[in-house]
Amino acid sequence: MLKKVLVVDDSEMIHKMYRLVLNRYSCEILDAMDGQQALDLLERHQGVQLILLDINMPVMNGVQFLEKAGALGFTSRIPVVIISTEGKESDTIRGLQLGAKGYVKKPFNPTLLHELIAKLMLPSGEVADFDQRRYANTL
Amino acid sequence: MSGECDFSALIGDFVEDAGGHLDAVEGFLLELERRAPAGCDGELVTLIQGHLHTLKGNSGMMGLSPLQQYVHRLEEVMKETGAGTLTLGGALFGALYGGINALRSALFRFAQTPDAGFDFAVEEAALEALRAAPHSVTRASAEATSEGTPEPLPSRSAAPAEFGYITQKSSTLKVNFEKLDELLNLMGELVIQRTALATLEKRLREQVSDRELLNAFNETSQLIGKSTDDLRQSIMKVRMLPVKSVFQRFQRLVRDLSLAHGKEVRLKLEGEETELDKTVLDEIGEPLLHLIRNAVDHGLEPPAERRARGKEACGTLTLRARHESNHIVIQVCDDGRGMDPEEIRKKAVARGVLEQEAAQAMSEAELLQLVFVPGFSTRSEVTETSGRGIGLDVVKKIVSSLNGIIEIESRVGRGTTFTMMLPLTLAIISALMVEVAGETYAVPLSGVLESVQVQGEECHDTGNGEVIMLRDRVLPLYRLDRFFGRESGGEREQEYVVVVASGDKKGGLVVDRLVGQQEIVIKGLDDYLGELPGISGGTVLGDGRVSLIVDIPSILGR
Repeated sequence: MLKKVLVVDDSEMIHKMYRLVLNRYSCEILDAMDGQQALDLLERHQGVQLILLDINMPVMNGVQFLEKAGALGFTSRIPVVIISTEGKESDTIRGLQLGAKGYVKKPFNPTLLHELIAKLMLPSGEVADFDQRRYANTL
Repeated sequence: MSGECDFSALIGDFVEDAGGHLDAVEGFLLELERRAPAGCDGELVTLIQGHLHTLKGNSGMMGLSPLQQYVHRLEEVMKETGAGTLTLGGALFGALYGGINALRSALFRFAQTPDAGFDFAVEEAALEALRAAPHSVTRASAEATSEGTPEPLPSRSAAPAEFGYITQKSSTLKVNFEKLDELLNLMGELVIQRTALATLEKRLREQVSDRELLNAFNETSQLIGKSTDDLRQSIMKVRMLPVKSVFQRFQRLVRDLSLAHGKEVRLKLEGEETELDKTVLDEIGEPLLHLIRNAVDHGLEPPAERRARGKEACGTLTLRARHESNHIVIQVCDDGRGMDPEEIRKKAVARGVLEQEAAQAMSEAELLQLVFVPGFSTRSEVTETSGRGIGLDVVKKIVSSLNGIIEIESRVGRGTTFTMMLPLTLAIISALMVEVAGETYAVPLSGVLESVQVQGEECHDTGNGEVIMLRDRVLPLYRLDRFFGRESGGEREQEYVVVVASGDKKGGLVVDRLVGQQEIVIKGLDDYLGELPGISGGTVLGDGRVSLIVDIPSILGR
């Protein structure tokens, strides 16, 4: 079901972990180290179905990315899940206001991410209800 | 915290990565301390926080909560430092450096014995002590000796052993792949110049009569040649990684797929240690994925059917890799139901892929090749994983784009083997140099099956292109001079034909002369040239001339 995912995080380590976590989908994974790289990849690649987004990044952070990607029309087509270490919760809230479909706190339990992916990938997609519950739990 | 996902394979990466963050934090701390007299540099504090934050997140993902918590404490201390609640001074820096040392040795221990656990009680106490009396910190440390601070902070009494990491030797080095690419590129230049040297030597032999000098020159030139070869091989080796890293990824896929399809499948890996150039390794994942999906979905039978045929209920899927002369051979082999050429023949006619007559005339081997035709599948139902044979034509496309060949071998009831033959690297290739209308072209050797000399009258014009009969098989001919619009004058009595293959297609390239075999460095052609049919790139010859590389797939595709 999941064929192409864009992972945006400034830690190489996290990219390696996502490779393991996402292994079960056998999907193509695009790696971006910051928001700008993520935008560049979106311009060049068709068919990205999911964006996993960190907030705290150099060059262009997650919130700035969501603003730009929203203006370019990417986030209306592609669901974004914020995956970020606890810290600036205000940024996360801003991210959700900017159209992110879900929020998972790092360190996350991969099962949680898989659940979220399963919901997001449903054609009906009851995402709003789902992420708000999670969100309330984690903040 | 890592749930059902096992990150233990990443321990080495994690420790290395964490070490990098600690080095960075330490560097910024040193800078912060140097600038302390002028006040707290907020930018440096932010940089330090950034690294600690990332390290904290990664530690958490690795399921190392004591580490995560301690780094979190350090992060908080930095936050307070930035906010001015903690004063920059000896005690603060002492505690922070002490903390970094403790983290370093803890990570070192963790790398040796991952189950040992962490203990940062002493270091946490040191941080607590800082925060308990924030404003006395500077003074306390400055006047530590005179006031006789009762309890020296643990970090200040750092034992020499704690600095062991400074002299610790590492046997690995992380290098950006682009640097290796650059190295290979330079190597390519050297290969070209070596060829120039050989050409020069030939000319010297004709013009210089001093035998002794010539022999000395020859000897040196040979030595340079040998060193160049050794150097090239060493550089190639640096770029090589065992195929294991790709093969291993499929364990989970096969498990999930077989569960989903109610099949029992055992995945066997052979030759996992075979090393491949990273450029090739990066590309084989996708074709393998399609082949494996195809094997589990179409090839292997459900347990009941297998038992009924007297086979073991659990099917075997074998991934095999090996080196063979100038190629890498990768095989996906199943012991399933195999493909029935008759069934393929019927399907081909039913789907309108072939006319009845053409289908009847095809040999079994040719019929098997039909599975690579877009939209062709031997099973009529569509499944989620393999679809309607979508995968196999993609596989062929990818293999062809890598200058490789794919072959299929199948026996009804016994199983199917897909064999991919790929070049060792995508940067330097062996090529057969040929002459066409006065120009030298390079034909990638990976696609060359053989070269033959045929009599002019053996070429038959079928009205739909020329063909020859080669060992009872019809081989279409492609005259390169015509293809490139450079007619070199009438047909000759004898023609040189280079038999090439791409994916499952074979053909004969008619050339004027065979020049010889040579290693060439592929240089991409600039994008502004657009798509050039028949040309995949260029290379520089020993004498400085540019030679175009023949793109076999696009010629055979016509």
